[in-house]
Amino acid sequence: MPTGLSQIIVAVKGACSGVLKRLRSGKTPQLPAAASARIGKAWGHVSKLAAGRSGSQVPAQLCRPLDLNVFNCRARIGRQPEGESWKSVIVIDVCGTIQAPADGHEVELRVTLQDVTDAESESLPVLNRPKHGPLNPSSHFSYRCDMGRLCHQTTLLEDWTAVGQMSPEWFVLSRCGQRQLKCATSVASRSTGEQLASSDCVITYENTEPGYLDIEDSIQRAKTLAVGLAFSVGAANGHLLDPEVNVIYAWAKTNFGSADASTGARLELERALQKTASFFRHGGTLNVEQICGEIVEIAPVIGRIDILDLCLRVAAAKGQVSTAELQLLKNLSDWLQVDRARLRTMVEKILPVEMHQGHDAEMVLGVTAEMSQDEARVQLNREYAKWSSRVISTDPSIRRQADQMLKLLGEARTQYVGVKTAR
Amino acid sequence: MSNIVGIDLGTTFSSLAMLNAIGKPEIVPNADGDRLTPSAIFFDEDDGGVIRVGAEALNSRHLNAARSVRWVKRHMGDPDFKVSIDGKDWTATELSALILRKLRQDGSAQAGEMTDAVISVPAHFDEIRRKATMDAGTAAGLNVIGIVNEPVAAALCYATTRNVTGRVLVYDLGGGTFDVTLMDVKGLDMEILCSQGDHALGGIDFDKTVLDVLLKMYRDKFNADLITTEEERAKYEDEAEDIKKTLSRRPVAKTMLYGPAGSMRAEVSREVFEQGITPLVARADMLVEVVLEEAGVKPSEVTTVLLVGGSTRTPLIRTHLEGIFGFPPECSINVDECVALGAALHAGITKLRQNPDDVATGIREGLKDISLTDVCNHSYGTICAPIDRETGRRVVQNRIILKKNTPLPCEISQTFYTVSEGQKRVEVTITQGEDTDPAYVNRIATHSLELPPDRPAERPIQVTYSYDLNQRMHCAFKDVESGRLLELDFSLDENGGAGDGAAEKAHAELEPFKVQ
Repeated sequence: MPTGLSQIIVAVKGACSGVLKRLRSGKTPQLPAAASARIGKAWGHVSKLAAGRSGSQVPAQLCRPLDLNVFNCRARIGRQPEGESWKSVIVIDVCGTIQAPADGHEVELRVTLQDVTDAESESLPVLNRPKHGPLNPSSHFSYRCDMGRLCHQTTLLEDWTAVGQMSPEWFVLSRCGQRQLKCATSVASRSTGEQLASSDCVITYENTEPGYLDIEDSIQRAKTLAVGLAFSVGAANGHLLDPEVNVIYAWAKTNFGSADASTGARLELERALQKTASFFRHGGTLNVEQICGEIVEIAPVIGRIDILDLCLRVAAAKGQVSTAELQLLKNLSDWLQVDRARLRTMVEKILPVEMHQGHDAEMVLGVTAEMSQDEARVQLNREYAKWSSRVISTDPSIRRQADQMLKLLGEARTQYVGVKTAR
Repeated sequence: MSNIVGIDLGTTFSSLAMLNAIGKPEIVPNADGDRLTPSAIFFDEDDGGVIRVGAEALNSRHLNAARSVRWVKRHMGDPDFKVSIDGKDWTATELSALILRKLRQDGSAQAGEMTDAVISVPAHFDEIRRKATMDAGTAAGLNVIGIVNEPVAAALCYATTRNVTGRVLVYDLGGGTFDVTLMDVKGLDMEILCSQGDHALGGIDFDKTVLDVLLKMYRDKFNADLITTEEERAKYEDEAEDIKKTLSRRPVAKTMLYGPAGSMRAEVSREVFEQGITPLVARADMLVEVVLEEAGVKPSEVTTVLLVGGSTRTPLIRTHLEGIFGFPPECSINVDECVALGAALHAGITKLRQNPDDVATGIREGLKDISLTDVCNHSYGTICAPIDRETGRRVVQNRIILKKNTPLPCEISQTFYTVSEGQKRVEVTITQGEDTDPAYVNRIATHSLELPPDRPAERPIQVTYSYDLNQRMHCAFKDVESGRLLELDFSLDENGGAGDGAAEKAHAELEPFKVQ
């Protein structure tokens, strides 16, 4: 790895430390929109993995001496049947005294969670897991459930009573592994919202899923590696040109340059990018396949698509793309496990055929040497149907592209299928 | 009662037909007595107020190419296309209006006043191009009562002059555009099944192939370019067209090339020509296959292949089609005239539907048994933002509601959902095009549907598109819970004929010019 690239990693960490600080200080974390989208997706994956797992832990509060004159709470890991298996839940038990305004008062249970693994002063929020779309860093998890009517103004619960249970599928923790979660539990009036009793407890929870900070780390790491890949694409034909470097700089500044980043961090990023560019300008190379392998390990498909998008924009920056660059882009899509159909769709938009120095039938038309004549015919017809409708676009650049594509399709049809006559 | 007229506004040639007293269409010759008028325009050098259209304009190209225009149809509806003559920028619509005015003028002189007309367009023309064509008609002083797809017009002409039953594939290869239409015909009952087109494939592409051969021959012999001026280009473009036509009749065409480095005798064989146009024929094949596939019809199920357009005279096209379908194509009707004749029939049918009292009894009787079921020419959709299953990200997408080739009249509804909590409005966009990617479709209208306040996300919005026989589209966007409704109407009559006043303005602007 070039020193510049390792410096980028350091610079990126500097630029992103603001996010972490804000999280720790309890302020709304300002994750980039794209990053949030990826987190959301990643959680989609991990939640599937989590389904069906079960576990059981004994909370430390079980052994604590109780004062029944006050309100007490404890949290423990329970299990709940789900289909033919079990899933873990956090069960909230309460005991002690609850003082209501009057007899027959309706109340509800409220629980909020804080990750206090590193110390209470550095607590991290537990976030709501969205049903769809990206994770919202400002949406902190809280749990509410109806506790019914308290018969008397003063209620004494002499035994631990389970009053609520929270599924880990509802929230997202900051990190993977063993976490200390502080459960702030209260009983509130349903009519006025007034808090009638409250208590805190801490539970040790084994989080098997990557936390949002883990994902953010992975995203930042993937982005850093993306810069390396982008430089490799720019230098694929032996020359790294200014327009290509400018695309990478702009991307890096957008993706790493958080609004909170200090001037120093920004300068550090700038210097690191310059060093990386210099490394490639002097003939340096990276093991692109290995980098892609690491990206596949840490980045979801949407992240990998974004990285490929960057690489395509770098290739398009100088207005023409060589056969060697096209081949590298095809390899990148394979190594990043982005399917060829998606690559072709991206190429159509970012690298229109007029930029291609040589015509790669697979990249441009989707036909491969392995296809039978009939398969090639079907594929070419599909492309023809697509481009013949685009040829009447109101956008002159699309019309130009469509014209060129239709010519290529005619030639490819002659080559792959031929023209039959009755003679 | 005024004459009922059909006009084939072609890329290379145009013609006009009218219905006679018994409802039969007849071509009306131009002032020179020709049944076809070249779609060529020449702005007189000596008198700026005189514009020549037709054969004279075609010949004048060789003298002053900068003041001549051909193949306007390929640029119809293109806002970027302008021809600057004597300080005026002429649009494709205005230039087309000059051709139409010449046809109307000559036709009126021969057969009496002509106002109500149907103009034919390629089936694949979108709303913008159709509107531009109607504007051209209005600017030429016509009352454009409708637009007909060229293959439909040709099939109308064919079915009313021959005893036809079966599945007919109309292969319409004109001067600049190519359409394929599949239809079921049973006597005078015609049902369009599917229609597709290629806006950039036609006889002029064949001519270019011949021109390329000539240029190469000259370069090979003299190591110099044959063409150095626009006038020379015009001359050799016409020469190439003549060679192409000759090669439809003979195996070899001969000509002299007079270039700056010397002159030479050139011979172009049919074999060389056919080799050159093979990629174009292959391209045409794809369109045929796309149509058959979309209609779910095998080549063996087609009973007749009807040739339309001058470029179908090319022998390779005919033998090739015979190779695909196993029988020779039908070429008993005049490939150059059938579109205008069919357009006149369509004009009669349209008038009968819109204003039957304004149609003479003889014509009414002649047309009464004709029944035509047309289809939607394009797909119409709206922009939405569903969540991509693979990436989990919202993707802005064009969702097709009314699919191309849906039989008319039709009405289709789809339900969409609001995206965010407290969403105050939905921006509704009506699109025309076949792609899911919004970058590749044309947006024909954008409006806003106001929503009730303070509602959660994912509230249903029902979108209904309908299309009637008069090519009038109605779009309704309804918030299901509140019942709030946004309705939009689009019709070629309103948008094209007199709706925005642009065509009338163009008519007034063109009035002082003398078209000859």
